[in-house]
Amino acid sequence: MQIGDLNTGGARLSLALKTLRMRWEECKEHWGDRTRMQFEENHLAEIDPVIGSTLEAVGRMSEMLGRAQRDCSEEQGSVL
Amino acid sequence: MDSARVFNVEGIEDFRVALALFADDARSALSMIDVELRRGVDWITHERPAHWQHESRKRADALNRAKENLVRCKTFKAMDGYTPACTEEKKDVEKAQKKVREAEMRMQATKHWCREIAHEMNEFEGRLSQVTSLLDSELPKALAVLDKIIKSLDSYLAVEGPRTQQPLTGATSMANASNAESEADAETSDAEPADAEGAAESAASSAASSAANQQVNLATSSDDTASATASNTAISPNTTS
Repeated sequence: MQIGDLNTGGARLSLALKTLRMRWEECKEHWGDRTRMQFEENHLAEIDPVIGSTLEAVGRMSEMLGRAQRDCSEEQGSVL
Repeated sequence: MDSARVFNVEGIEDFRVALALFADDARSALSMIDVELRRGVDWITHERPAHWQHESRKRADALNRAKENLVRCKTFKAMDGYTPACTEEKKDVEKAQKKVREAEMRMQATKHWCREIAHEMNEFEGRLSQVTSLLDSELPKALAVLDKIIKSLDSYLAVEGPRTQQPLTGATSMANASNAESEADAETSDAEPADAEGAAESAASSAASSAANQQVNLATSSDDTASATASNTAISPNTTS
């Protein structure tokens, strides 16, 4: 078991973003004017890159914690 | 003229719900990540150094005992007049030395990871602050804008009649104005003349002329600066796109 499991939270965040994307695509079927485009540009465009870069950072941190756990544990494993 | 193309107000309402749920889910996920991250970092920066310090002392003591046993063995057996092999005792010393070395390496590794994690944490917290800002500041704004848009469309439909699958063309000015309101750079000029024209046409040509003169107050709060402008915008319910 990993000490500091970031993957579960990361997966949840990823799923939340995926669901939001789907809901927005559905909404676009009902709403197709300039206001919608402005709303998307002003309020939604930022979500994807911010969450995306956060998920990348979560992935890096998770990997780092995994390596640290291996190196700092009793069990056999690489020491740096 | 910008033409509104809203086929179904419920579609926007559904997305409003989805956006609020996303904010809740994202907060919950970030909270889980935060708790686990603190647990992991605490393990590496506090639990592990303490563990390996304790192990180093314990293993050093074990090595000393193994060395003493070896000395005792050699002394005891030498009394019989031959040089004893003391094979087991030597093996024990080697094993204890290996364990001491391993503890030292793990201790060094722990120090290394404490530094690495501290560095990565700075970057990670920077990312988290961006998401926190998004969730605490940007998404509430987006939800408020959606609320205004939905309210405006509902006001329009209250004038127009039941919700329909036909595009709500007259709603453009309302939606645009609502959006511009929230962005604090209201651009009502593009909506007003066209809508006024549409309203005049409607008034002249259909029984909905009374509705064409209906004014819709877009603002949801009394202190909205653009509300006066928006409320003076006449909508033309029967204008086609």
